[in-house]
Amino acid sequence: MNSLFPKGTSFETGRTCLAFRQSLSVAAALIFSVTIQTLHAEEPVSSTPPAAPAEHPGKLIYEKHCVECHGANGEGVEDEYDDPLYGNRSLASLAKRIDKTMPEDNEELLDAEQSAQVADYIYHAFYSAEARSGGKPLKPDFVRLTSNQFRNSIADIFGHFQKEPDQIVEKERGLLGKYRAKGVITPEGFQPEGDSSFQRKDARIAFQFGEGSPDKFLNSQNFFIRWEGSVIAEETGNYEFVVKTQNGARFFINDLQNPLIDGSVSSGLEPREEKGTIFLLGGRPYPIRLEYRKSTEPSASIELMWKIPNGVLETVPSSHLSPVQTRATVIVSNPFPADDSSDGYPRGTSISKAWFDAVTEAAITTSEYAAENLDRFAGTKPDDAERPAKLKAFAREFASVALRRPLSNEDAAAFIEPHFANGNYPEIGVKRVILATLTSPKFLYPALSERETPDDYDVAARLALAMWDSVPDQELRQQVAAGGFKTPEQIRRQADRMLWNPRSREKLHGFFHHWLQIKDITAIAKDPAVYPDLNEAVLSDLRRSLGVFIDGIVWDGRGDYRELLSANYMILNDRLAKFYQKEPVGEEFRRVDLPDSQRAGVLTHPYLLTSFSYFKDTSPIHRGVFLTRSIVGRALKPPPEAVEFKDGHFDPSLTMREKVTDVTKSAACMGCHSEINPLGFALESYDAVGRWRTMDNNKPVNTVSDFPDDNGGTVRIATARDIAEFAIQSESSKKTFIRQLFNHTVKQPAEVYGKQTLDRLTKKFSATDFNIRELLLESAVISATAGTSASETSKETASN
Amino acid sequence: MNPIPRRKFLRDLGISASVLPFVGSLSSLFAQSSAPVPKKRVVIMFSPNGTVQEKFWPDSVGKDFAFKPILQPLQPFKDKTLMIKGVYNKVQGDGDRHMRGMSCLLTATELAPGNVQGGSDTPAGWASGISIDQELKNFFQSRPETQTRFGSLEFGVAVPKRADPWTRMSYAGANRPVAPIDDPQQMLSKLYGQVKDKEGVISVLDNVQNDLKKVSGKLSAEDRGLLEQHLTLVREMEVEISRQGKSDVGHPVPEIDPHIELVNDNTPEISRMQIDLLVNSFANDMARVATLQYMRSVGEARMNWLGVQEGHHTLSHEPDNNLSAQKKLEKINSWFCGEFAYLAKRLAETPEPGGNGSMLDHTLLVWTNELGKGNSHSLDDIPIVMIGGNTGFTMGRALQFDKVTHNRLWMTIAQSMGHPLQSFGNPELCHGGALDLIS
Repeated sequence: MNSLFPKGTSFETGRTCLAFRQSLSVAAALIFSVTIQTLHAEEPVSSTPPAAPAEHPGKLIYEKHCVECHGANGEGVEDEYDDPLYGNRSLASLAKRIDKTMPEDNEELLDAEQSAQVADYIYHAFYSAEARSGGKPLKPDFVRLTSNQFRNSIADIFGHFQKEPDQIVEKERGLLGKYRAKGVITPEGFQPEGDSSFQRKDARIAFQFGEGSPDKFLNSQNFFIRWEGSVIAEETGNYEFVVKTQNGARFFINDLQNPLIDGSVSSGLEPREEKGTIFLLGGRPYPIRLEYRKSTEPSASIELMWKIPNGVLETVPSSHLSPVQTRATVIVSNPFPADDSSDGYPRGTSISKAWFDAVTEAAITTSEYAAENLDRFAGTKPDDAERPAKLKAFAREFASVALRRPLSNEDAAAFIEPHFANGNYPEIGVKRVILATLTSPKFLYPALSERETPDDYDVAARLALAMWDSVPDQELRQQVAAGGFKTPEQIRRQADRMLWNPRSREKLHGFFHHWLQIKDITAIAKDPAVYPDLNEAVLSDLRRSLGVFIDGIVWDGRGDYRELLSANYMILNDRLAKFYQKEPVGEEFRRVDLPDSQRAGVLTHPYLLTSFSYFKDTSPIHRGVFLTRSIVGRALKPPPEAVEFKDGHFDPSLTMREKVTDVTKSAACMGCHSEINPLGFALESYDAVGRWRTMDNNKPVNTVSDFPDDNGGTVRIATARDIAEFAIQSESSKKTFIRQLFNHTVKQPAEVYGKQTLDRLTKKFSATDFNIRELLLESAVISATAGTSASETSKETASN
Repeated sequence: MNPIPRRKFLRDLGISASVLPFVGSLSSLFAQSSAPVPKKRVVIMFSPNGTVQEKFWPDSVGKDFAFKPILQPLQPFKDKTLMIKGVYNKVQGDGDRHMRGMSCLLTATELAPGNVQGGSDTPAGWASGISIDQELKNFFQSRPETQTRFGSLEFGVAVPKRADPWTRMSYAGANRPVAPIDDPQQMLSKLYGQVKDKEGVISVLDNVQNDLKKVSGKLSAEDRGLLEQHLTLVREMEVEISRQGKSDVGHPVPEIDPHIELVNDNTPEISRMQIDLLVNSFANDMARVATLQYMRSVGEARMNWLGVQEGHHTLSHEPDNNLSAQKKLEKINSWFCGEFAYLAKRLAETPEPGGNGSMLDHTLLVWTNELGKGNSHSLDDIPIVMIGGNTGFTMGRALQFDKVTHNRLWMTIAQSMGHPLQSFGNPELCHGGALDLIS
């Protein structure tokens, strides 16, 4: 499919710098390879045509000194410099770079003015994104649902037919426990007749009753407890639940009829760990029930534990339990191949047999699940005289919700009627409709059901995809049907409502995950001899701390991007406080202000500092590349050759900074490392697990460097806070952030919605005090209203 | 209540004759692992609540024995039958005799202490060891030449939906009961799920194709590329399924009524379905080990189809002098024997795939019970009837042993399957080693 940026060229590319494979790489941005003959030629080279009067002076220089390695249109030359000469530097920065580094091995050949001429020429000829779009109007890439969108859509289509709540509004945490026992304890003693019972909230389920009972009024023999509520899953993935007890227990999740864990028979006197695993979609609550029975066993205990993705086995924390019982979710759990991320963000631009098979399998299992629960979804009963009609109505509504608009008669004739014709069993009809709908191109490629001029249903469908990765909910559908979703104000009102739904939060989680390259904890390894206290539990807490930090700013606070980069507080719990030598804060995560520290938001979050480090030591290169690309927002070319960073090759008395300086000292390296190193060095105050340090290898840590700014000058960088300040004032840094968030939200390049889209978003971002929530909303509205009268960009495009 | 003929329903569901060849080709994939060595298989069938001893054991031992009334259905297989009297379940410990009879039957080891209170004795939990069927499954699965897709299959008939030591006889290990599948539809889906799935998909592929053609006309050539790839994938799936349909080998899947209710009165029909599926799964070499569990220990099946209205377990408590009750128990046990005979018959009728003789010649069937006798709850002289071949045992006989433990019988059977087991279950009960069933 046509993509704005060819693969491997921009800061957003999914291409991995070799430096990320624990090896140090040499990078050069522009290589001018010039032959001796050319340099020393006294006469013009005969093959060069005489310049036409209007020819750009930079073009002549380019054709003389640059074309051999970079190609006539910057496309690159095999075996010379084969990466295309595309990027996002400003013109001034580009000129400065050329002057300093080009032509390779003869940097003095061009003076500053000539370099500026070359820069001006290539910038407008092919280097910039605008140049490459060639003035042609861009249109959205034709895409399918991503696997995430597919899963969320199916969950929400079925959710449409359920009355129970799908989210938890109440702040209360823990589960509701219903206690019951045979017999009554009175002041006169135990009376075997009758039952005693009471209920209470339990923050978490971890009880050692021993020989006693949960309550003085409850007999210690033959008591029964039933805990009800929901569990909140944050990440998508496999959740292992463990019920630990020496008595009888059953655990239900997302299906309150069939237990995930049936440990009702106690066996042996030791506590047993009964296990079950379930795949859950992140950002959603799931109904649970834990039944516990103590009979005549000598001792009683019960604990509900889990191991979540990127977690360790632990008691299910109170923060993830709610006494509110939500509805069950229809979960597509079969694996999908990864979505294409070659444009720097996952999107549905390609299909494969593996994807097709996964969709087919998901459609089959979903249709079977629906068939087994048909009466519940269709609101009918086996002996209901109206059942066949109700089943058909359900099928029709299902297709309509999935295809994101009311079915036309033509659609109904194609989708519904054939499966209910000739006295077929309606159960099988429903199954077939679900199968047909979920494998239908109109469901899989949302753009296919759009009208030539998008109507209100199309706008609603795009909005739901952008904000939720899902289908419109009931409220949105009703607004559209009632004609209350037409004006920009009405659309914005809905978008604002949708913003506060947990699905939007989940959507942004995906963005932050991608933007900050948040790894799985299993991908992080540290030498236990050097960092004996760093275990999986610490890593898991660190990862969660990062999530709590981000959510706190984005959703509970002002949503301020600047705070994200510069906050000098950390989110810690007891385990982390101990690890980072702070005062105890309690079991739950809390904000710990560090007013005198150099901490700067995500830049110094220990999880990222740790994941961008080597096995034994820091890695200024990994950290620097991350900061250059993601925070400062500059393009880095893949290194032209790989150089392995071999710790053993250095003088053992060197600091890490000295080693990196040495290995990147060549001009070819410094093309990129003049930017990477200063940023990485500024974080040398933090060791490989993110702890503050002042010494490295028995020498004081030196964090000071000069960093090239956006205007061809330099800026002094000494701390992470300096980097944050630089990024906050830099237009191009903000634009990078905005572009990445837009791409993640809309799954299209921003330029598709008008060349000024990014500039306008940047202006609005500043005007809203850098509010990330507003940015999400704005991006979603831009994509949703494109091509309609409610669109602001349509006016701009029209005037172009 | 059922206005549409069953055949049509089957066809709609996708289990029609047209898919059958496909089923065969599926199984042939799994059959590739089979070696030219003659196969050995084992089925253990269970029926509950003891038997009527006098109507069960023959009066004489050796070759010239005569079947008592309960065993009459086995007449056609007499020369392939081996009856073994004198096998005792001597496992002691927690749990009442029904519980120990059931959960120690195939495990031959004690129950762990637990919270399940029986009619007498102390409460108990699960068995503390693996059962012989799972032991053999692990053995077969550990060797490439005897590996199969499932290794073992656990069939049930009218097993109530509850998990306790009375309903479980198969154990993957200590505290790890294996639930039998007593819904033929569920078993069918386990064995042949993919077949049904593909059938359903075929039914909507036309929809998808038409849609793709209709919408792709509206798109630019560039955008059409993705849809054309999609269309190709749809066509490939169609071709794939139809090609699979043409290569006809293996054994077709039996037809299963998808609407059969799992209720007491349908038990005879369900029983035959399960046996058909069992034979079919063996024919397609999906497993070498199976269990077939009727009801459960203390089961109260009401066998209206035999004209018996009382619950089975209640009847089994009636004293020996209640002749009417004893007659009914004889009928009930003879019915179980009939199902055992049907299993033998189906295997005898089916030629051994890739081998000589019938499948029965390569399969050992064992019919047993958790009690010897219902009204005394005796774990002595538990019923053991075997039919089949390729074990080395001398069949066509009735044998009498002197109070041997059932641990030793399971060791004997394991050894006949090539598994050199020298101890099984509680080692204290293994003295004397395997039984001699040859001479």
